Amino acid sequence: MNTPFNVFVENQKKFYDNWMEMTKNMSSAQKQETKNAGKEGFDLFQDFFARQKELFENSFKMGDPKETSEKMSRQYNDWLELQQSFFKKWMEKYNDPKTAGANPLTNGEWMQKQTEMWKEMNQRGMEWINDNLFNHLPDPMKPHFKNYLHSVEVVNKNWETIYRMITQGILNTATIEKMMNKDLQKQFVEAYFGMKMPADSSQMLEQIRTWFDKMISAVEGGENPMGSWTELWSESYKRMSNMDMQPGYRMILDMQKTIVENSEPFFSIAGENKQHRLARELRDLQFAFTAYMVHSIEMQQHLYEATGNAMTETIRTFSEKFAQNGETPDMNVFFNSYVEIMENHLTEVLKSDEYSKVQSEMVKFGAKVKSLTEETLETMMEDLPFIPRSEGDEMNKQTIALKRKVRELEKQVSELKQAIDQIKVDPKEAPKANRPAAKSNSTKTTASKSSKTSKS
Amino acid sequence: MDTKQYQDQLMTQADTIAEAIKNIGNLKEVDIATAPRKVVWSEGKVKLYHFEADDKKTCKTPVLITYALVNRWEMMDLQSDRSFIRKMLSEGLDVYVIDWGYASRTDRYKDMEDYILGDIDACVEHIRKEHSIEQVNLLGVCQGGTFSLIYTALHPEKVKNLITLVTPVDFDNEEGLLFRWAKDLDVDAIVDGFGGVVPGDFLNSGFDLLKPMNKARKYASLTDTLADEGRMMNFLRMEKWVADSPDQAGEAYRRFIKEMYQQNKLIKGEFELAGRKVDLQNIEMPILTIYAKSDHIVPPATTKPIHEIVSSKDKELMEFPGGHIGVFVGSKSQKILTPAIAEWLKKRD
Repeated sequence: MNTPFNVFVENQKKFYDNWMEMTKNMSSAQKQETKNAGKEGFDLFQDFFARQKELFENSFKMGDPKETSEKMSRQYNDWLELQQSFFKKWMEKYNDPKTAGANPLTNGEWMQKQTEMWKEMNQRGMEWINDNLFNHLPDPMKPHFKNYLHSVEVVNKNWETIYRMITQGILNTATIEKMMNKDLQKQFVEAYFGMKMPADSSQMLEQIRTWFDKMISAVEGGENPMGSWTELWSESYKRMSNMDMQPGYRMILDMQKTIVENSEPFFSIAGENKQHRLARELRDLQFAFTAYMVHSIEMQQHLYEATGNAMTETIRTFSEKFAQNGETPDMNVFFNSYVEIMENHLTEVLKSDEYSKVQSEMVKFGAKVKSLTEETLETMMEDLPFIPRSEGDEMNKQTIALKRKVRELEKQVSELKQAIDQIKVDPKEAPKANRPAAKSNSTKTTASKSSKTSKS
Repeated sequence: MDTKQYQDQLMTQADTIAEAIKNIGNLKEVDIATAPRKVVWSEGKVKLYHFEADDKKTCKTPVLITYALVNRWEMMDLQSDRSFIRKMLSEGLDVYVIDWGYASRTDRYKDMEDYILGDIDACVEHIRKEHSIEQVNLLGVCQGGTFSLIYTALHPEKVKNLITLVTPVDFDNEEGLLFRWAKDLDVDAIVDGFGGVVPGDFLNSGFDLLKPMNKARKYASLTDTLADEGRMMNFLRMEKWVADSPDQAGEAYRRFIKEMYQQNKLIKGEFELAGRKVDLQNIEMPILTIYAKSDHIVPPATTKPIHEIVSSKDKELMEFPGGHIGVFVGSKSQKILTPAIAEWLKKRD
C-alpha cells in the first residue's frame, strides 16, 4: 500500500515511535527527571509545528500547477529537513547536561499536546499531498480514488488500537471484537464502496422524505390535490418512523405498497387530468424510491455481513505471527493482507443467489426512479412548446424501422440487378435468375415483421 | 530499523512523491489509438477504419475486426509499443476495424439485427468492393466475436477465415459472476428505466465488482507508478480506456442479455435474426478460437464450445496464458499471440 499518504503517515509514525522509544530508553537509563526538559521540548515542537504549518500554507497558496510541481520537490525536502532538524535539536536539548534525563513521557499534558499536534501534522500533510496529486488525476479516477483514500484513512485512524492488539498477542476473536471499534468494518466498507447506510429505519425514512419533499415542491402549485397527498405521505412516514421496526426495512416497503394500493380507487374516481396524473406519477415514484432504498440497504447489509470478520481475521493472523516470532506489523503489510481477506469474503457473497437477486431488485428500482422522474417532469412540462422525449423516441423508433426497410429493399434491388445482369450475359442461365427471388422469402418475412414493429 | 534507516527511507519516499507530483503536473495529454488510419466508410455513428501499413502485405485478404459494443476498440491500439493492431500491421496484414461510436437516445431502438446485418454487413461489403474480393477475414472480439459468429453463420459466403477472441458462446455458466448476475437481471426494467440507453457507467460498476478490491491494489502502488513517467503513461492510458465506456443501445442490450445470457439461444440453435434462424453449423470455413486461461470476464468454459459447435474441418483452439485484457496489451500478446494469428491467416490466404 505504497501511496504517498500511507508511506508518509507510516514513516511519520515510525519516526515518532522511534523518537519515543529512544526517549524512553534514555530516561530509564538515567532515571532522573527535570521539569525543564519537557517544557523546552514542547516549545521546540511548537516552534517546529508553527514553521511546518507555514510551509503548508504557502504551498496551498501556490496557484500555478506547473510552479507547484516545480516547487514541490524542494519544499517537501525542506519540510523533511525541518523534521530532522527538530529531532536533532530535541536530542541535543535532551542531552544537554542542564536538562539531561527529563522524561517527557511522564508529563501527561505535554504528551497529550504532542500527540494532538502529531495527528494534526499528519492530517495536514495528507491533505497537502492529496491535493497536489488528486487535482492532477483524470476525472473518472477521482471518485474511486477518493473512496480509496477514505478507506485507508479508516484503517489509519484505528491503527494504534489494531497495533496494540497485535503486539499484545490477542488471539481470541471475541476479545478482538470487544476491543475493536464496532463500526470499523462498516466504516471501511462504506468508505471503499462510497456507500452510506442509514443508522436505522427512521433515518432511512427521513432520507426518503427529504428527497420526496423536493420532488413535491417541484411539481406543487395551483389548485390540485397535491396538498392532501403531501399530508398523507408525511403522516404515513411519521407513523412508520415512530414504529420500532429496526431492522425491518421490508416492512416499510410493504406499508408503502399498501398506500399505493389504497390510493388507487381515488385515481379511478378522479379520472384523468394533468394534476391527477402528476399525483399518480409521484406516488409511483415514491414507491420506487422507497423500494430502491430498501434493496440498496439490503445489498449493503449483505456486504457488511460478508466482510464482518475480515478485520478480526486479519488482526488474529498478525497476532499469531507476533506470538510466533515477535514480528511487528507494518501498516502497509497489514492493509494489503486485509484487502486480500476482504476480497475473499466479498467474492463469496457476490457469488450467492441471494446477493444476485437483491442486486437485481436494487438496479431495477434505481432505473425505475430515473424513468419515473423523467415522466413526471414531462407531465409537468407538457404545456410548454417543446417536443417531449417520448415523442422524440417515437420518431427514433420509426427511423430505425425505416432504415431496416431501406436495407431490405436495397438488398432486394441488388439481388434483382445481379439476376438481370446474369440474364444479359447468358440468357440460357435465365432460370438461375430466380435464385435471389427464392432467397428473398426470408426477406419478405423480415420486411413484414419490420413494418409490424414500426406500427407498434 | 534504526533512525538512519528511517530517515533514508523517508528521503527516498520523499523523492518518489516529488517525482510523481512533477510527472503528473507536467502531463499534457494521454494519447491512445495512435496507429495511422483513415475513415473509409461511415453511417450514423458507426465508422470503418482502414489502417495504414508501411510493411509489405503478406496476406492478400484483409482482416475486419469487430470489437464489442461494451468499451472501445482502442484497447487494441492502446500504445504504440503495446498495440495489437500495430503488431498485426507489422506482420503484413491489412487491417480494418469497426468503430461503433457512442450510442445515444437516437439509437435506443437499434437492435442486434442493425449492428450485425446492417453495420457489419455494410463494412464487409465495402471491403469486398474495395479489394474486388469475394470474402474477408473476420476477427471478432468478446461480444464482437459473438456478433461475428452470428454474421458468419448467416453469411458464410462472405467470410474466408474466422477468428474469435475471448468470445462467449455458451452463456449457461455459473463460474463467471457476470453470467451469474445476468440471469437475475430484470433487463426490461433496466432498459426502460434508463430510457432506452443503458449507461456505460452502470456497466462499469458491474465490471468493478468482479474483483471488488482491485482498485485498492491499483491505488496502493500509485506513487511508484506515477514517479516513473513511462509507467505513469501506461497506467493512465489504461485508466482512460476503462473510463471511456459508451452507453448501450437499449434494444441491442435487451436482446443480448435476454437471448444470450438468460436463454442461451445461440448455442441451442434457437436464436433468430431478421426472421432467419442462426445455425452455427453453417460455419464451415477455417476457424481459430482463442480463449484466455485466466479470463474472469469471459471464462474459458463459455468460449471453448465454439470449437465443438461449428462444422469447420480446419479448426484450432488456442489458449492464451493471461486474462481478458492481457490478450491485447500483455507482452505475451505481442510476442506470441499476434504472430500466431498472422501465421494462421497467412497459411489460409
